Amino acid sequence: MSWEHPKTWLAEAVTVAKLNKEIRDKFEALKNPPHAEYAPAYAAGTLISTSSASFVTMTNFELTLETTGGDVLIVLNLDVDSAAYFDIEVNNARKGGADGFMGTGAAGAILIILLLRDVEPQTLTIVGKWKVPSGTTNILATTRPYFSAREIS
Amino acid sequence: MGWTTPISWTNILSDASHFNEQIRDNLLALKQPPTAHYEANESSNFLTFSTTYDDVDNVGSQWTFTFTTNGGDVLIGLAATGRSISSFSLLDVSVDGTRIANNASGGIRQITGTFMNVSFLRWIRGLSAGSHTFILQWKHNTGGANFGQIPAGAGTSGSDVHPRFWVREVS
Repeated sequence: MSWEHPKTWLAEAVTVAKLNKEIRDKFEALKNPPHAEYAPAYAAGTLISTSSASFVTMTNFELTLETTGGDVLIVLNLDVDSAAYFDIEVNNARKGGADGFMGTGAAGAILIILLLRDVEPQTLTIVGKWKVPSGTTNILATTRPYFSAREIS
Repeated sequence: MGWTTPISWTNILSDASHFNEQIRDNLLALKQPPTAHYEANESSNFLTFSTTYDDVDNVGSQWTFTFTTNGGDVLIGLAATGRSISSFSLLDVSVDGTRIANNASGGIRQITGTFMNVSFLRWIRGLSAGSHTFILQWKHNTGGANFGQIPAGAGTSGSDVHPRFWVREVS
Protein backbone atom coordinates (compact mmCIF):
# COMPACT_ATOMS: atom_id res chain seq x y z
CA MET A 1 0.00 0.00 0.00
CA SER A 2 1.68 3.20 -1.12
CA TRP A 3 1.71 6.53 0.67
CA GLU A 4 -0.21 9.55 -0.57
CA HIS A 5 -0.32 12.96 1.07
CA PRO A 6 -3.16 12.98 3.64
CA LYS A 7 -6.25 14.88 2.64
CA THR A 8 -7.43 18.07 4.32
CA TRP A 9 -10.85 17.37 5.69
CA LEU A 10 -13.64 19.82 5.00
CA ALA A 11 -17.18 19.92 6.27
CA GLU A 12 -18.14 16.76 4.39
CA ALA A 13 -19.63 13.35 4.82
CA VAL A 14 -17.29 10.82 6.38
CA THR A 15 -17.58 7.62 4.39
CA VAL A 16 -16.15 4.15 4.84
CA ALA A 17 -14.11 4.58 1.65
CA LYS A 18 -12.56 7.81 2.90
CA LEU A 19 -11.69 6.32 6.26
CA ASN A 20 -10.08 3.29 4.65
CA LYS A 21 -8.04 5.44 2.31
CA GLU A 22 -7.04 8.08 4.86
CA ILE A 23 -6.51 5.93 7.95
CA ARG A 24 -6.09 2.24 7.13
CA ASP A 25 -4.06 2.65 3.93
CA LYS A 26 -1.76 5.31 5.33
CA PHE A 27 -1.02 3.43 8.51
CA GLU A 28 -0.19 0.38 6.40
CA ALA A 29 2.07 2.52 4.22
CA LEU A 30 3.88 3.83 7.29
CA LYS A 31 4.19 0.34 8.71
CA ASN A 32 5.46 -1.27 5.49
CA PRO A 33 7.54 1.28 3.58
CA PRO A 34 9.42 0.55 0.35
CA HIS A 35 12.47 -1.59 1.08
CA ALA A 36 15.16 -3.31 -1.00
CA GLU A 37 18.19 -5.25 0.14
CA TYR A 38 21.02 -7.51 -0.97
CA ALA A 39 22.75 -9.81 1.49
CA PRO A 40 24.78 -12.41 -0.38
CA ALA A 41 25.90 -15.58 1.37
CA TYR A 42 29.13 -16.25 -0.46
CA ALA A 43 30.43 -19.80 -0.75
CA ALA A 44 33.70 -20.50 1.02
CA GLY A 45 36.61 -19.33 -1.05
CA THR A 46 34.60 -16.86 -3.07
CA LEU A 47 36.49 -13.66 -3.79
CA ILE A 48 34.68 -10.47 -4.66
CA SER A 49 37.55 -8.26 -5.57
CA THR A 50 38.64 -5.16 -7.37
CA SER A 51 41.95 -3.77 -8.53
CA SER A 52 40.42 -0.68 -10.06
CA ALA A 53 41.87 2.71 -9.14
CA SER A 54 38.63 4.39 -10.23
CA PHE A 55 35.16 3.71 -8.87
CA VAL A 56 33.49 0.60 -10.32
CA THR A 57 30.28 -1.22 -9.47
CA MET A 58 30.44 -3.83 -6.74
CA THR A 59 29.15 -6.93 -8.47
CA ASN A 60 25.41 -7.37 -7.79
CA PHE A 61 25.29 -4.53 -5.25
CA GLU A 62 22.46 -2.87 -7.13
CA LEU A 63 19.07 -2.01 -5.64
CA THR A 64 15.87 -0.63 -7.11
CA LEU A 65 13.54 1.25 -4.79
CA GLU A 66 10.14 2.65 -5.72
CA THR A 67 9.79 5.55 -3.32
CA THR A 68 6.52 7.22 -2.38
CA GLY A 69 8.20 10.44 -1.30
CA GLY A 70 10.15 10.96 1.90
CA ASP A 71 13.53 10.18 3.41
CA VAL A 72 15.53 7.10 2.43
CA LEU A 73 18.10 5.31 4.58
CA ILE A 74 20.85 3.40 2.78
CA VAL A 75 23.15 1.00 4.64
CA LEU A 76 26.27 -0.74 3.36
CA ASN A 77 27.99 -3.00 5.86
CA LEU A 78 30.88 -5.33 5.02
CA ASP A 79 34.49 -6.25 5.75
CA VAL A 80 37.50 -6.06 3.46
CA ASP A 81 40.96 -7.59 3.59
CA SER A 82 42.92 -4.45 2.66
CA ALA A 83 42.60 -0.78 1.77
CA ALA A 84 39.62 0.40 -0.28
CA TYR A 85 37.24 3.31 -0.83
CA PHE A 86 33.46 3.02 -1.05
CA ASP A 87 30.68 5.17 -2.36
CA ILE A 88 26.95 5.00 -3.10
CA GLU A 89 25.61 5.92 -6.52
CA VAL A 90 21.99 7.06 -6.74
CA ASN A 91 20.48 7.39 -10.20
CA ASN A 92 23.93 7.51 -11.79
CA ALA A 93 25.35 10.17 -9.44
CA ARG A 94 27.92 9.24 -6.80
CA LYS A 95 27.11 10.81 -3.44
CA GLY A 96 30.64 11.14 -2.00
CA GLY A 97 33.81 13.01 -2.83
CA ALA A 98 36.71 12.14 -5.12
CA ASP A 99 37.51 9.27 -2.76
CA GLY A 100 33.91 8.40 -2.14
CA PHE A 101 31.90 8.29 1.01
CA MET A 102 34.22 6.26 3.21
CA GLY A 103 37.50 4.38 3.11
CA THR A 104 39.77 2.17 5.09
CA GLY A 105 43.56 2.21 4.94
CA ALA A 106 43.87 -1.45 5.87
CA ALA A 107 41.77 -4.56 6.48
CA GLY A 108 38.67 -3.62 8.42
CA ALA A 109 34.97 -2.88 8.55
CA ILE A 110 32.98 -0.53 6.36
CA LEU A 111 29.67 0.88 7.56
CA ILE A 112 28.01 3.49 5.41
CA ILE A 113 24.78 4.96 6.78
CA LEU A 114 23.47 7.36 4.19
CA LEU A 115 20.34 9.40 4.81
CA LEU A 116 18.77 10.91 1.70
CA ARG A 117 16.38 13.74 2.63
CA ASP A 118 13.12 14.71 0.94
CA VAL A 119 13.26 12.27 -1.96
CA GLU A 120 10.49 12.80 -4.48
CA PRO A 121 8.33 9.81 -5.49
CA GLN A 122 10.37 7.98 -8.11
CA THR A 123 12.34 4.89 -8.98
CA LEU A 124 15.76 4.99 -7.37
CA THR A 125 18.60 2.90 -8.70
CA ILE A 126 21.15 2.54 -5.92
CA VAL A 127 24.54 1.01 -6.62
CA GLY A 128 27.51 0.19 -4.40
CA LYS A 129 30.82 1.47 -5.79
CA TRP A 130 34.42 0.85 -4.78
CA LYS A 131 38.03 1.39 -5.75
CA VAL A 132 41.48 0.75 -4.31
CA PRO A 133 44.54 2.96 -3.80
CA SER A 134 46.74 0.12 -5.10
CA GLY A 135 46.83 -3.66 -5.44
CA THR A 136 43.75 -5.82 -5.03
CA THR A 137 41.14 -5.78 -2.28
CA ASN A 138 38.61 -8.49 -1.50
CA ILE A 139 35.28 -8.38 0.29
CA LEU A 140 35.52 -10.94 3.05
CA ALA A 141 33.30 -13.96 2.53
CA THR A 142 33.63 -14.96 6.17
CA THR A 143 31.15 -12.23 7.07
CA ARG A 144 27.93 -11.56 5.23
CA PRO A 145 27.82 -8.22 3.41
CA TYR A 146 24.61 -6.25 3.73
CA PHE A 147 23.30 -3.54 1.41
CA SER A 148 19.84 -2.04 1.92
CA ALA A 149 17.66 0.93 1.05
CA ARG A 150 14.45 1.79 2.89
CA GLU A 151 12.08 4.68 2.92
CA ILE A 152 11.76 5.66 6.55
CA SER A 153 9.39 7.64 8.68
CA MET B 1 4.11 19.17 11.51
CA GLY B 2 3.94 18.48 15.23
CA TRP B 3 2.54 15.39 16.89
CA THR B 4 -0.66 15.65 18.94
CA THR B 5 -1.44 12.92 21.45
CA PRO B 6 -4.20 10.82 19.87
CA ILE B 7 -7.56 11.16 21.51
CA SER B 8 -9.86 8.36 22.60
CA TRP B 9 -12.73 8.77 20.19
CA THR B 10 -16.04 9.13 21.95
CA ASN B 11 -18.08 10.80 19.25
CA ILE B 12 -17.53 10.45 15.52
CA LEU B 13 -19.45 13.64 14.85
CA SER B 14 -16.20 15.60 14.94
CA ASP B 15 -15.66 18.70 12.91
CA ALA B 16 -13.15 19.00 10.09
CA SER B 17 -10.49 20.67 12.25
CA HIS B 18 -10.59 17.71 14.60
CA PHE B 19 -10.07 15.26 11.74
CA ASN B 20 -7.23 17.35 10.36
CA GLU B 21 -5.43 17.46 13.72
CA GLN B 22 -5.96 13.82 14.61
CA ILE B 23 -5.62 12.18 11.21
CA ARG B 24 -3.89 14.39 8.66
CA ASP B 25 -1.42 16.14 10.97
CA ASN B 26 -0.51 13.09 13.02
CA LEU B 27 0.05 11.02 9.89
CA LEU B 28 2.34 13.73 8.55
CA ALA B 29 4.15 13.90 11.89
CA LEU B 30 4.86 10.18 11.64
CA LYS B 31 5.86 10.45 7.99
CA GLN B 32 8.13 13.47 8.45
CA PRO B 33 9.63 13.30 11.95
CA PRO B 34 12.04 15.95 13.25
CA THR B 35 15.40 15.42 11.56
CA ALA B 36 18.70 17.25 11.33
CA HIS B 37 21.42 16.27 8.91
CA TYR B 38 24.64 17.69 7.53
CA GLU B 39 27.02 16.30 4.91
CA ALA B 40 30.50 17.75 5.42
CA ASN B 41 32.22 18.88 2.22
CA GLU B 42 34.58 21.47 3.66
CA SER B 43 37.58 23.53 2.60
CA SER B 44 39.67 21.85 5.30
CA ASN B 45 39.49 18.59 7.22
CA PHE B 46 38.37 18.47 10.85
CA LEU B 47 41.26 18.34 13.31
CA THR B 48 41.57 18.21 17.07
CA PHE B 49 44.62 18.69 19.27
CA SER B 50 42.45 19.07 22.36
CA THR B 51 42.72 16.67 25.28
CA THR B 52 39.29 17.74 26.50
CA TYR B 53 36.11 17.27 24.52
CA ASP B 54 35.48 19.93 21.89
CA ASP B 55 33.04 20.22 19.00
CA VAL B 56 34.25 18.39 15.88
CA ASP B 57 33.14 21.33 13.75
CA ASN B 58 34.20 24.06 16.16
CA VAL B 59 34.36 26.65 13.37
CA GLY B 60 31.15 26.36 11.37
CA SER B 61 29.11 24.44 13.97
CA GLN B 62 27.45 22.54 11.15
CA TRP B 63 27.38 19.44 13.33
CA THR B 64 25.52 21.24 16.10
CA PHE B 65 21.81 20.55 15.72
CA THR B 66 19.06 22.22 17.73
CA PHE B 67 15.50 21.24 16.98
CA THR B 68 12.21 20.37 18.66
CA THR B 69 11.26 16.76 19.19
CA ASN B 70 7.83 15.28 19.88
CA GLY B 71 8.88 13.12 22.81
CA GLY B 72 9.81 9.92 20.96
CA ASP B 73 13.05 7.98 20.68
CA VAL B 74 15.90 9.58 18.77
CA LEU B 75 18.44 7.82 16.57
CA ILE B 76 21.87 9.41 16.10
CA GLY B 77 24.08 8.39 13.20
CA LEU B 78 27.61 9.16 12.09
CA ALA B 79 29.10 7.82 8.87
CA ALA B 80 32.73 8.88 8.70
CA THR B 81 36.34 7.93 8.25
CA GLY B 82 38.98 9.02 10.74
CA ARG B 83 42.63 8.79 11.72
CA SER B 84 44.82 9.74 14.64
CA ILE B 85 48.43 10.81 14.59
CA SER B 86 49.95 8.92 17.49
CA SER B 87 47.83 7.38 20.24
CA PHE B 88 44.07 7.72 19.65
CA SER B 89 41.09 10.05 19.58
CA LEU B 90 37.60 9.57 20.98
CA LEU B 91 34.22 10.59 19.59
CA ASP B 92 31.13 11.33 21.65
CA VAL B 93 27.82 13.17 21.26
CA SER B 94 26.63 15.89 23.59
CA VAL B 95 22.88 15.96 24.18
CA ASP B 96 21.79 19.16 25.91
CA GLY B 97 25.27 19.56 27.34
CA THR B 98 25.76 16.00 28.59
CA ARG B 99 27.91 13.59 26.62
CA ILE B 100 26.28 10.22 25.94
CA ALA B 101 29.24 7.99 26.77
CA ASN B 102 30.20 10.41 29.49
CA ASN B 103 32.92 8.52 31.29
CA ALA B 104 36.27 9.92 32.23
CA SER B 105 38.39 8.29 29.57
CA GLY B 106 36.07 6.84 26.96
CA GLY B 107 33.72 7.87 24.19
CA ILE B 108 31.34 6.22 21.75
CA ARG B 109 34.03 5.44 19.17
CA GLN B 110 37.83 5.28 19.24
CA ILE B 111 39.93 6.45 16.30
CA THR B 112 43.33 4.79 16.08
CA GLY B 113 46.26 5.57 13.83
CA THR B 114 45.08 4.30 10.52
CA PHE B 115 42.56 5.66 8.02
CA MET B 116 39.51 3.79 9.35
CA ASN B 117 35.74 3.59 9.53
CA VAL B 118 34.46 5.37 12.65
CA SER B 119 30.71 5.14 11.95
CA PHE B 120 28.20 4.50 14.69
CA LEU B 121 24.50 4.48 15.52
CA ARG B 122 23.16 5.30 18.94
CA TRP B 123 19.62 5.45 20.37
CA ILE B 124 18.55 8.15 22.80
CA ARG B 125 15.52 7.04 24.76
CA GLY B 126 13.26 8.94 27.12
CA LEU B 127 13.92 12.37 25.69
CA SER B 128 11.11 14.73 26.58
CA ALA B 129 9.22 16.71 23.95
CA GLY B 130 10.83 20.08 23.34
CA SER B 131 13.97 21.74 22.04
CA HIS B 132 17.20 19.72 22.25
CA THR B 133 20.78 20.30 21.13
CA PHE B 134 22.99 17.54 19.74
CA ILE B 135 26.71 18.13 19.09
CA LEU B 136 29.31 15.73 17.73
CA GLN B 137 32.41 16.11 19.92
CA TRP B 138 35.86 14.60 20.24
CA LYS B 139 39.27 14.81 21.86
CA HIS B 140 42.76 13.42 21.40
CA ASN B 141 44.31 11.22 24.05
CA THR B 142 47.63 13.04 24.31
CA GLY B 143 47.35 16.24 22.28
CA GLY B 144 50.45 18.37 21.86
CA ALA B 145 51.77 17.81 18.36
CA ASN B 146 49.47 14.83 17.95
CA PHE B 147 45.96 15.11 16.61
CA GLY B 148 42.82 13.41 15.45
CA GLN B 149 41.40 13.96 12.00
CA ILE B 150 38.12 13.40 10.18
CA PRO B 151 38.65 13.93 6.46
CA ALA B 152 35.82 16.10 5.18
CA GLY B 153 35.98 16.58 1.45
CA ALA B 154 38.86 19.07 1.49
CA GLY B 155 40.39 17.59 -1.62
CA THR B 156 43.14 15.80 0.28
CA SER B 157 44.51 13.18 -2.07
CA GLY B 158 43.52 9.73 -0.88
CA SER B 159 41.04 10.95 1.71
CA ASP B 160 38.58 13.16 -0.14
CA VAL B 161 35.49 11.65 1.49
CA HIS B 162 32.25 13.19 2.76
CA PRO B 163 31.25 12.29 6.32
CA ARG B 164 27.67 12.73 7.49
CA PHE B 165 26.15 13.28 10.91
CA TRP B 166 22.42 13.16 11.52
CA VAL B 167 19.85 13.01 14.29
CA ARG B 168 16.28 11.85 13.80
CA GLU B 169 13.26 11.14 15.91
CA VAL B 170 12.13 7.66 14.93
CA SER B 171 8.56 6.44 15.08
